[in-house]
Amino acid sequence: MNQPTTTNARVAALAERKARASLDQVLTSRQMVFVTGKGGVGKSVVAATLALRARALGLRPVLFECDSPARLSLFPGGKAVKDDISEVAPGILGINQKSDDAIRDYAASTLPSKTVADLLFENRVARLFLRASPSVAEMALIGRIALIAEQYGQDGPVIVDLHATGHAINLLRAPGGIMRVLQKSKGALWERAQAIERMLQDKTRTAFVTVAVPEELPVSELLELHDKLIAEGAPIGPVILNAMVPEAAAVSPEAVAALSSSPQTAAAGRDLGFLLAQRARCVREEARLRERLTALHGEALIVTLPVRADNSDERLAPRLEEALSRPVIVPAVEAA
Amino acid sequence: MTTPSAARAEDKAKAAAHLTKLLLESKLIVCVGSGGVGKTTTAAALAIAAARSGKRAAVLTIDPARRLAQALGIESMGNTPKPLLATLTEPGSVDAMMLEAGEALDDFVLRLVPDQERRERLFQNRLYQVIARHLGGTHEYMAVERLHALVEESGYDTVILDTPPTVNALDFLDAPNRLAGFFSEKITRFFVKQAEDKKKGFIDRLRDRAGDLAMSVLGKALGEGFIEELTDFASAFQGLFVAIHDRAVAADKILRAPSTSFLIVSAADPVRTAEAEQFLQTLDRLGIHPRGVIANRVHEARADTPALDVGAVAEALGAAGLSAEAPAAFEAASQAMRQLDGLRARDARGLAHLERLVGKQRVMVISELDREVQDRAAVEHFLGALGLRRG
Repeated sequence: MNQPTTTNARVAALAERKARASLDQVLTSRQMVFVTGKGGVGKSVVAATLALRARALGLRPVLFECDSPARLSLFPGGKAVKDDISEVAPGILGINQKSDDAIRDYAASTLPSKTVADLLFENRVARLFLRASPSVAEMALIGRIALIAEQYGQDGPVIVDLHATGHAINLLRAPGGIMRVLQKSKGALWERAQAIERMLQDKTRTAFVTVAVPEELPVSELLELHDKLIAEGAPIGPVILNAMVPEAAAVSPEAVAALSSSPQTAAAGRDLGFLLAQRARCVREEARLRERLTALHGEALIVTLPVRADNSDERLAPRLEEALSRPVIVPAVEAA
Repeated sequence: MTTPSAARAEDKAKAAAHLTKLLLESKLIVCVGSGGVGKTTTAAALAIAAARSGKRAAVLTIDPARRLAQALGIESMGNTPKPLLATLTEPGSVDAMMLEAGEALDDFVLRLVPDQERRERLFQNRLYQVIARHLGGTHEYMAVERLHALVEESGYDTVILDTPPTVNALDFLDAPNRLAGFFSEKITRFFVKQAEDKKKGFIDRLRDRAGDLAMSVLGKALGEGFIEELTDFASAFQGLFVAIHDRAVAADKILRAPSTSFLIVSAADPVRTAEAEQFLQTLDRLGIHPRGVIANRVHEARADTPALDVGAVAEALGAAGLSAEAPAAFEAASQAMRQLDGLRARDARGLAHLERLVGKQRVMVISELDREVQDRAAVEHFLGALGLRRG
């Protein structure tokens, strides 16, 4: 009876260890690491956790936020991420790119003449036109990210905290869209778009780290996103499964029912039943994710992060990084 | 004197009455909120609630994912309205639909451009193809157009709109303005030097101000032919632009009409309530004032929380013949209570935050279920809070 349990735990621990090694490898070797997933899965905290992990690996990461709401730092004692690149915690740089500024910042850094850039932006109609044109904003954003990766990527990864899943796909498609529009003439912007498209598809420079929580819709959306990323030729890194409910003590369903039916222990029985149901959901969704990822990629690299009750805490990212750095204990095979 | 739990029940009844009133009085309800808070489930439940109150309702999602279909238990959903089962919605009805941007833009052009030759030219234009199919942003534009048609022309009593998470949703609210700006007559004139217009076009003005050198710089950056191509696109479809502009202005009016209600959907944890506050501020800047907040998946405070007694556990398990499990069960149950007490305390703080923002009677609390449910059951759970549960 004990034998299969031990073996399962061993397989799970080995898989976790391998996935973490792969994540460390991605952080160490890539210039751009895009963090994406369904809304509400904790992308920002995961991005901050990855920045802490990269620092622990001896790197100097850049945390790149897109239109981040004004909030407290995700690092203890850290500074808020500003519009310009600055140190947000010891050894970690950060920038919050506003999409309205991205076009202007990007034009200023790309257009060979400042006069032309200024002229474009002092004209209200031109400004409106650029802002409203689909793809221009995305191209400007991805252009800014690529520029920062070229400047800082040697020292550590630029970790990009993207919006919900559609955003990643729109960003990936932007260079191609710009190239289609400009294909007749192939000017400098066309060349730049082509260079960025190549960079995005280069698995030695870029990785997409996708995040889900162990619930049906986030896992399904992550799998759909993987299909799209594959279609766009994007390099896919390990998956982060956030907010896993840890394994609870083995209590039989009959015991939970007995607790729930006695007035003095009913409240405790309900709470225990609730947590056990949550744990069962986590186990089920992780298994489904593992199976589908294996079918898709030949192997499933899933790094799990534990659930925390108070997720507003500035200590959350450090706690998760601590969990990520703790050695995975692989149970020994029981003697026969 | 009322007990705390009786006072809470009274608050809940008032919040439910407020939401029911909004549901019956509004022609359009826009659900906004960040991801993962149950926005889609809420939109689906509100549509069904309106139907159960006798309305002819429609629920529309501009999210490209398949969530709404899942929440409603239907297999697939597209641009054409799909009615839900009558047993679910009687005495009213609910049509559900979703937008696919490329398709919607083509539909729109079909309606606005009756001339086939001109239409074909537009479909063939590379800029049009890029805008329609390959790039982001068109979802929002088309959603506004569809919304306008639905509220004004389809004869629905109530339209419920599910919006994408945070940042995209705000794009959506701003889309009519941007759309109007993009397709305004002014902007076509900007690129096109019209024969009857003495004013110079963009290119000439740029040349006047910056000289030929600047023009060649811009030409190099964008590619020589691009400005011409853009000019061509703009002049060929000027009439269409004006039509789109007018629809966008009309759609913006719909978002601001007194018969339109915005609801913020949130959870009760502090990260979500902070996001809800951000939403309120941003909406306020756009001149929109949400009429209520729905707090989803709340771990509600318990009326009484007796400490778990080791003897009581032994007794309960002993009665079921499970005495051997008593120590482990006591341990596990105590731990579970501690963990959930943490979540209950957290959500109580979050709820207080939401209530400070919009007032107690405008926060509808939907409790977290103590078991895992499918989407349909979550919809019924919501309807239960409005007293409209069925089955």
